[in-house]
Amino acid sequence: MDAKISFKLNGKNVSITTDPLRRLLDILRDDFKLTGVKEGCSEGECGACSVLLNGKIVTSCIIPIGAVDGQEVMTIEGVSATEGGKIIVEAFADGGAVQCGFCIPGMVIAAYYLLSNNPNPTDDEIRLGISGNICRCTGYDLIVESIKLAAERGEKIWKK
Amino acid sequence: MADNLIIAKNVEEAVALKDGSSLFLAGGTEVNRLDSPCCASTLISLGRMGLDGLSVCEETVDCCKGPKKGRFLKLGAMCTFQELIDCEDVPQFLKEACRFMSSRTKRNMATIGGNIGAARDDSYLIPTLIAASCAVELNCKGKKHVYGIGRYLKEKKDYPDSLIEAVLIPLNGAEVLSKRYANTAASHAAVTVSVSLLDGKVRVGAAVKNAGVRRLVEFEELINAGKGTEEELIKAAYGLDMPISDDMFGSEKYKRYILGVTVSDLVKKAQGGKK
Repeated sequence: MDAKISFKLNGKNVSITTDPLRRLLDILRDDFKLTGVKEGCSEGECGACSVLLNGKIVTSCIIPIGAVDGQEVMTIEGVSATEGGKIIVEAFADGGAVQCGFCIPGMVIAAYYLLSNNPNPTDDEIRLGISGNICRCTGYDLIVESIKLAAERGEKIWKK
Repeated sequence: MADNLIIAKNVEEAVALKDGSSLFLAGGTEVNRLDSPCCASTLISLGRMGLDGLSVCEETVDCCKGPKKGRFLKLGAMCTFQELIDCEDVPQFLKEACRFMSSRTKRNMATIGGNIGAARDDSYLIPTLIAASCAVELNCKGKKHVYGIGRYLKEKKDYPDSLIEAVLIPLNGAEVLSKRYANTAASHAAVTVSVSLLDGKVRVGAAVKNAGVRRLVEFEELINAGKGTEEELIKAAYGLDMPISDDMFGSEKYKRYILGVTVSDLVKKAQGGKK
């Protein structure tokens, strides 16, 4: 049975009438056309579908949209429009962090979440911060370096 | 695949709605994942009930051997793994067990109550909770029960519609050591073992993939009787009455050997640490 679900999406109030068991991932991609969020494993392991739910990083493939009613969701489209998000995206490009690119929206979300909570992370803390995001191309080193670069470049933003 | 999702407003409503055709939905990392074995026509979401507090309490726990009174750290069942790791008051051994779930993203979602309720045979937390003599506070159709984790696991099928409201960690100073064997950090574990040492007595919990999760009283009796050499524990593991089989996670022989050796190693380490 369909239900009306209202939530905040990238800072704007939105509503949708749909089956509350549909996945947040599908709602974002199919209904709101926010295709930056990717479907990888569908079991919450790979992190390609990462979004921020009430400011915490979660995997949207295992969240029913009904559970999002009244909550706040931020996708890669929202994050990359912020000052910090722009710095991370540029650092990933400059640092050579991207190969096939499929995991990158999730990686950027993870980096944003990490730097927002820990402006000056160590290598180990960065690796822990992206532990929910799997990349099959890069071997992670350049992603870690790029997050360090984003931490340096956005020092004033992250420490706010 | 469920047909219906209900967001419960409070514990009373959640418990009243629960029947054989429904499942409680906590963090969702078990129920919602692809190929989840969980099957129900209705999901009852527990996300809005606020079962995520932390307090210290005195409680009488119904264990297999009768009631036992003690002082406990009471963790709301909806506390996530990451919240437990971030909380100063949570004992290190429980934080370590939470870190067995390697993905920080998943740790933001998975809850302590959900992990116990799912009772997976490669459970991240249950071996540790068994070794630490933890308890669960259940709401069975409005009636409160506090059971030792061992008793809960044994009698779980008798309370199919009960809701885990809280998990109680004894404040007895016991140290718990755990080890998990898996092919990768994100893989299902073949074997997870936890050992605690309190007042000279050892307590062992283990999860073996495709065989189950339980307290290993057989090992405890051997060790507490002073017969816990590595050879004796390996022999005991080969003779252990547990349906361990060959599968993609390891051979039966491997899993039994690892179980015996790991219990031996952890007991030595625990005893060494106490000297």
